Amino acid sequence: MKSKKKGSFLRTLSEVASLFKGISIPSVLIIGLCPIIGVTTTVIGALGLGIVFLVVFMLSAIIVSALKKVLPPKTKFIASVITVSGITAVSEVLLAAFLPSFFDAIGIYLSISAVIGVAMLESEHIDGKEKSSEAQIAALRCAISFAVIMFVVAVLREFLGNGSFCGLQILPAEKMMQLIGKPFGGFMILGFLLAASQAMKNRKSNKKAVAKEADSE
Amino acid sequence: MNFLNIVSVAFAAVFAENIVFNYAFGTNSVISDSDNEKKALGTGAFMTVVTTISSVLCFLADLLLNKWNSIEFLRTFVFMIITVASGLLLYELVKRFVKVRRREEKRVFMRLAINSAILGALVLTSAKGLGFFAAVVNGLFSGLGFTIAIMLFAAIRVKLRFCKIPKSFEGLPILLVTIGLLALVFMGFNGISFA
Repeated sequence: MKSKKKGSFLRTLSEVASLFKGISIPSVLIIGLCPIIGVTTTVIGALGLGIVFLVVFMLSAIIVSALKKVLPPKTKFIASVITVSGITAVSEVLLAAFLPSFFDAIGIYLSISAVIGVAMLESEHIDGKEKSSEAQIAALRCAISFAVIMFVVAVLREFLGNGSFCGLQILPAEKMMQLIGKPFGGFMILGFLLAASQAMKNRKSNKKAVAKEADSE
Repeated sequence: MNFLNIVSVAFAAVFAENIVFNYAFGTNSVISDSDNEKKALGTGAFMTVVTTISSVLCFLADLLLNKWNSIEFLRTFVFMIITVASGLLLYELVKRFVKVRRREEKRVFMRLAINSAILGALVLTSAKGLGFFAAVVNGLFSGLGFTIAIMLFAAIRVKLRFCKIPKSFEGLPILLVTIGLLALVFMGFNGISFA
């Protein structure tokens, strides 16, 4: 029974992981680098912007893919600019009305997320898809990976820079590296995280190569 | 506004509050368009011209939006459309003087016009509440600050080609660490003012 449970859990995990197959994390990271560095000083800010971006981006992707069928291909770019910036403006109005402190905290980067949205819609991952349903699934994957990257970076930056998690103080802030809260820290954390993931990938591929060699011998 | 104030605005835009290293605006472009120095210079020049043209138009749009009391909510929408319009205007101007491969070049121009560096510089200028001349100077020198940043980065990338980099740092990680170190260098200019 236990092994069945474990098996199903692993299957679910692999299903979740397979959702992100085909999305190049570095390309999503490069497109969204500006908010990733700017907002990830706090976990709440990063999580909030991630969720807002997810909603805004998905709505835009649905509307743009519907417009694609009606509009001539030449006007597609302008249509996506107007759609994304319009929906971002609406989200700004709603956030300013209902969550003013959160709106003030992320302020300028919410406007920047409109640019990121257009750039992602125009990227190969989404624009290259022929069917609108495929494009929407790709858009969902891009937005989720963007939010996950922001969350991971924010957890590390908030803890290392301020000694806290989601505003909850764990270690005294004076003893932490406050430079991590600056853009310098964001770039460094991101660079080292990517390097660590590449090192893990390299180790896995080395192990596989060694196992293959052993099999052939 | 006296001469020293203008110098202070220009210095802040280029060094003390460089849009790339202080706010991380346009870092995607700095990474993807700095393969060689020529491309980097072209991108920087484009950004400078578009930011300057857009800052004039955005100042006028800001005045109108302030008059209608809706600045907070329409800023992103209006500024983005102005940015794209400025990019298209520049493309049409370039097309008159230089022979361009139409479809490819137009796509490149549009991709560059939709850039967080331009929108970020415009929103920052608007938030500072500068006068017309100072806003234009801020736009122009923000673009120049971006050009300096991308040229510096392109020059370092050329040097990186001849360095022995650990395997796990090859590609994007070493580029991010390099930008981080440049950001640390530019932090040294913080707090300097001539006004």
